[in-house]
Amino acid sequence: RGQSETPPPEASTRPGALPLPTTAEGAKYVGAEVCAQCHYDKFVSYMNQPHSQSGDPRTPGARFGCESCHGPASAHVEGGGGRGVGNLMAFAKETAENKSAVCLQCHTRGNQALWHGSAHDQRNLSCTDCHSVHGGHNKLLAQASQLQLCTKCHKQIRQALMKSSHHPLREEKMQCTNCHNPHGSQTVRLISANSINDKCYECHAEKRGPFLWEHPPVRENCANCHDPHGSSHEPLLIVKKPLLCQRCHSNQFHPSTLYARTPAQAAAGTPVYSMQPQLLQRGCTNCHVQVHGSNHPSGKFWHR
Amino acid sequence: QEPLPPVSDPTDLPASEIAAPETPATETELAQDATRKDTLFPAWSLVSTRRIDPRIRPNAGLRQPLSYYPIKGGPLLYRNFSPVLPDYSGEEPQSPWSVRMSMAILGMDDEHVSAKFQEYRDVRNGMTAGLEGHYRSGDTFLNVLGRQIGRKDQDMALDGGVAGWTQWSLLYSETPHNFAFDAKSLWAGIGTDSLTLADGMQTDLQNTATNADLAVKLGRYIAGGAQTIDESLRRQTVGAEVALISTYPLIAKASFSNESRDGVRPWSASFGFGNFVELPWVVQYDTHEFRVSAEFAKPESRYHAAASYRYSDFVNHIDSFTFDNPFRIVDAPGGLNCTFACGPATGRMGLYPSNQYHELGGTFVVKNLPFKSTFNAYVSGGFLRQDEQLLPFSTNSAAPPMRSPTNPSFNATDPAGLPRDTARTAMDTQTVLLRWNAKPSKKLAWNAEYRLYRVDNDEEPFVMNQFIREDEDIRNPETVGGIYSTVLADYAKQTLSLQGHYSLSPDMKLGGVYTHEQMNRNFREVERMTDDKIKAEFDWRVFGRVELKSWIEHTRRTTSEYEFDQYNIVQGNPAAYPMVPWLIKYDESPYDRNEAQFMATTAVTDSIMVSAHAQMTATNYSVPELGPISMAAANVTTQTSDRTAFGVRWDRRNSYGLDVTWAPTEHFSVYADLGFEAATFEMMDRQWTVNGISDPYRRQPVLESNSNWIARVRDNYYTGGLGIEASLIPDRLTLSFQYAFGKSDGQQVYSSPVGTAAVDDVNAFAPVPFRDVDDTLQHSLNPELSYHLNDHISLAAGYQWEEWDVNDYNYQGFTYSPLYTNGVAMLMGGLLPSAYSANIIYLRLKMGL
Repeated sequence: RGQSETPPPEASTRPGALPLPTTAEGAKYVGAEVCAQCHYDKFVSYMNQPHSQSGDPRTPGARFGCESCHGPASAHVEGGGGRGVGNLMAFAKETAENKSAVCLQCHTRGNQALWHGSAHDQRNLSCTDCHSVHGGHNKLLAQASQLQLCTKCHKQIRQALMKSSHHPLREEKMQCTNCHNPHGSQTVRLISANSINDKCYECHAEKRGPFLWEHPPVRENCANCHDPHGSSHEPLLIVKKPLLCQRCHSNQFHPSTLYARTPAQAAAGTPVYSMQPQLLQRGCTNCHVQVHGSNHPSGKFWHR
Repeated sequence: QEPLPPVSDPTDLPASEIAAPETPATETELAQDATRKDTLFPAWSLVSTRRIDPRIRPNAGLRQPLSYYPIKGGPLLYRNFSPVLPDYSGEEPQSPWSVRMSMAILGMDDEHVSAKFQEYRDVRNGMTAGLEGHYRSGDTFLNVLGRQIGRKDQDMALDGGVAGWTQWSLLYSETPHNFAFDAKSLWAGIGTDSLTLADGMQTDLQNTATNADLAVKLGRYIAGGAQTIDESLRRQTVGAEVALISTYPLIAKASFSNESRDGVRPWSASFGFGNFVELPWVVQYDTHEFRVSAEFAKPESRYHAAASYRYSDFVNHIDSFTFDNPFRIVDAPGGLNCTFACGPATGRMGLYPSNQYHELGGTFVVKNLPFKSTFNAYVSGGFLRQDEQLLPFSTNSAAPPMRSPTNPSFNATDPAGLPRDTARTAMDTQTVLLRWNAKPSKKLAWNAEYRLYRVDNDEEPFVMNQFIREDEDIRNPETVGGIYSTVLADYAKQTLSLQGHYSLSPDMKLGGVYTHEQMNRNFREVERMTDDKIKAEFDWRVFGRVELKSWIEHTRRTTSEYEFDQYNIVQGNPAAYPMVPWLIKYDESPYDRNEAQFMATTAVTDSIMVSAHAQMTATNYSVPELGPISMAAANVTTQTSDRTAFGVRWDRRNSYGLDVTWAPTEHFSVYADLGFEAATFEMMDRQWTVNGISDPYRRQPVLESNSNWIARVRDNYYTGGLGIEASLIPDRLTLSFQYAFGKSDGQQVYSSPVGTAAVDDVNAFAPVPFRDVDDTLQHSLNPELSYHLNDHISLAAGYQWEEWDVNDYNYQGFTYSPLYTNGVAMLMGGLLPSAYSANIIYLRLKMGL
């Protein structure tokens, strides 16, 4: 094996090619075997992940090994190694754009296809803010789980996930990427579907319909009524029923007043139950049970 | 960190390794396979590092990991504290395998203590295990991961392949969803499509003199004959995916999955306005998903293209169920408020219909355009179809003869009277995303984006003259000669966004975003909504120590004229009463919204990291232009106001938090967090009935009324956590301690002017506030000692204490059959999970090979 010139002509002059990391002027590639002699822990972590699968043409292993990301290392080796020697791409001090550019040499497809201009790209995040390429976690995450990783910044979401009504994220039966693509998506809030509702229908396909009798705000946005990250009100409701429904509905005959108990009755210990049971427990959905839509010919008011 | 040791003298290496070749090496030549024996790579082995321990702590994942990580250099966001580097020392035996198992035995005082405790998990006495395995030889690889094996929340994943040729994966996962333990039910046949009651009970309850008598009898039946049931669902998912890589740069993928859901869930049903009952609804679903995609993705190319097709088939194996009416044994014509005196002997519920969804999508990306820009395009079309057989209008054989446009007289139970046999609903969606992103210099970046999401209603309206409400009373349109016609949602949302970012210095960045979003609808009160948003972003690394990320945003929503009774008009019944005039549905209301978010993180010292955040949102709803009321009898004064008179008037949501991590040595670290969230809103409504004293159309057609009420609703939420990780004997004995706390505190305070009863005020008294609204309190405490016998075996012993308490007005004075003005309700407790306190001890053995 030998060293190659920098940069390899076919990798840098092709139209559209992203530049490979460059290091010291005139530096050449030495091969991962040389890197492994000193950086043993990094080498083993590299061998424990798909990046090292040299049989896969998509990997650094199929290109220049360690130097695919860190740049040609001959100057580093000849200078005796050490931090800063040979001007290797060391990531820690680089700008977010430069760090991401290394990963984006290859990660231009699949979930990463819409990275450019995505919310995290716009906020100056780099791949290494979330991924530790030499770490041992799934998907090379920099934390042991997605929850730990994402809630580092999205702290208000962490609070919401602690609420009594929640999706099974803290039970680890769901994770953030079940709904979001942090690398960029076609939808608001990095939702990995064409709309918020389309995402919800992936698991709640029964609510997909279309129904004979639709409930239009439900069709427009599940988040009109639900907070998917957690709520004090079952089931993930943004407001407790019946007030949730009363934000839009005040119909004739219906008891709008939850407070029908007088002060004297309250003082006498009269339970709320004895006053307006229609508004208790499930509130309006005690009777209007099919609020997500009804397929019953008599389902105009979502009773059936 | 100390500087890395110097590299071996290059002259120690074989000359062939360092001498410059006559011709430069190619990528292929430099691609080195360290799995081969004939290389100079040092020996290495696969290691297992994934989390496979039993899931015991419910807040797992919410606490930051505490492993020591030196804090040096400027922090970026909140530092990643735990990149797990395998702990290698010296030569490793080279093996193509790595296997690790984590086995635990659990003991607890009451595994059936509450459905809330077991909501999405299976914590009970006995054994469970986790498994992790990896294999790699040459280009062949195999990985297996399993958790909670043998439990109702188990999951397993298996993937493998031959690098550069193909990859495949298999998945199996189970998730329980426990709604209620020890709920009550009088019905037999739970879990089937027919819920039946004993004829004797129905006969007895039908032969009742008064509602009070009925409630007494019902209470006796519940006490004496109701069975105790658990209501839960089980979700099972199996999936497989295969990717063909040998055709690189064209990569094809195909996947299939099936998700089954079985069980019962607590929900309700009603018979007229007179009574309602809680029922265990049967659930037997299957959702099949099939996806294929092809992608051209060559790193050196400036083009990326992908196309995909998805087919999703939802199958409900039970499309309806019947449920006996406890208050009737014989069908009778219905009335509005009767309980035992009229109505059907059996009701029938239409369940979610089976449906099919097709989606075609394509992505196209061009990179390295002028100004260092990238162009992204995404286009997708979705086709949603549902054509299930329709049920007849009612089960009630005694209902009066009905009429339809095609059938002048038919029985409500006769499906031949339906306007059509099947639903024939259809909906198409279109999505377009166009994005141009440029980074012409290190300082400047911009982004322009257009997005369209459209939902097209393709259904032929289902038109009828009458229907049967709740299998009880026949309903006629209020409009003479009117009809009822189904209406599907139909809308399009277009968004144009322009963003720019400029770096004032390497540590300071300014950003600005303008977004214009327009939503056009059919069939609802507001035809057009326009959101204009202006957002400013500011990121600053202050003196290299504090990382600040912040933004503020202002949104103004404007709308077209608000048509109060649009829904009735498009359904063919314009004379139907609309709702209270001036009530603006909050999702269609114009508003002004201000939002701000700040997050600051600092490394106070090399061992202390502090992070704080605040997010604040304030929305003030306003009044749109009001459309005319077309109802013939309307007599409405459409007064205006600078605030929405009825409906939600304002809304506030604020969230604050503080995190601290202290890691003075690699053997000790502490983590603590505090959080507070406050959500409040105010809304106004009126109690009214047609021709009643507060009727806004005839008796009080003005904004002011003593029957108006205002609710001010507040939800506070407090969280706290503390974690300690200490290495008591380095590399041998580790103590971890985690505590989490959550408390919600809700209240609803009402106000209403007090007038004269029966004259000008429906509720002529000062309202009593509701101080206990979904108040919950939870604690979770988990100390654990872990002892590492050697590199391959560790033992752990732990204790988990959990407590959850709830206080809500629904829990106060709860009975299974409350009596009220118009009838009797039967509520069987399915929605009221009980408070719990649980103690769990566990022993865990982890072994690695």
